[in-house]
Amino acid sequence: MLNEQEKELFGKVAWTIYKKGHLTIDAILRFNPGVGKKDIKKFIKLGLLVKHRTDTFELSSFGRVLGFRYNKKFGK
Amino acid sequence: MTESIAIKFPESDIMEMDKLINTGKFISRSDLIREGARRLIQEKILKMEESNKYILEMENKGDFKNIELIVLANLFINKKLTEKEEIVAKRLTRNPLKPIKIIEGKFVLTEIGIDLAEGFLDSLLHLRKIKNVK
Repeated sequence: MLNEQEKELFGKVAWTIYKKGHLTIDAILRFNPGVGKKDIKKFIKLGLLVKHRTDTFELSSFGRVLGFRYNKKFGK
Repeated sequence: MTESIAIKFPESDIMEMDKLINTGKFISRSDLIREGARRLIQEKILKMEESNKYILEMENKGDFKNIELIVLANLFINKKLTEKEEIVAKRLTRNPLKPIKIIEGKFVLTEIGIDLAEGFLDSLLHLRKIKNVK
């Protein structure tokens, strides 16, 4: 479903959204140079990112849990 | 009050340390080791603070009451599902993430399902630690 690289990228995206709040796709890409539009679209399709009221995206419940799991910045 | 501790380092580490000391950034090996240890401790504290905030945000958003996550965690710990939870589990087999599949009539967690269950249980334990709940 998600390969190791995608897991790492999702961890970074989750961190960015957590720190900065809901963001547009362009903003997510700007803050995460290693992440591509294709990756974001996959995260949306899998339901890890959900649309906010406007054209911005936030983490879903599954997204928050996997963000916690995949990003080492959340020290255990 | 200070306390002395004896530490042994491999020769290669000592050589690298001495190079740094020769640049004038540190006055001695002890100074360098103290600085390194303090940075690590600070980094760990910052990480913990971020984790705590994140977990509290998860709680505020109701993630720990999310029935889908509870079902995944129950399957992970082999807890028998209630009738309502079985309906949720069936629904999860159609979720785009495919956290559950049915094998020989039984619900089985997929790799991502295990990640979700472990992430949920880890964060729940973390929340209990923050709130000092046993």
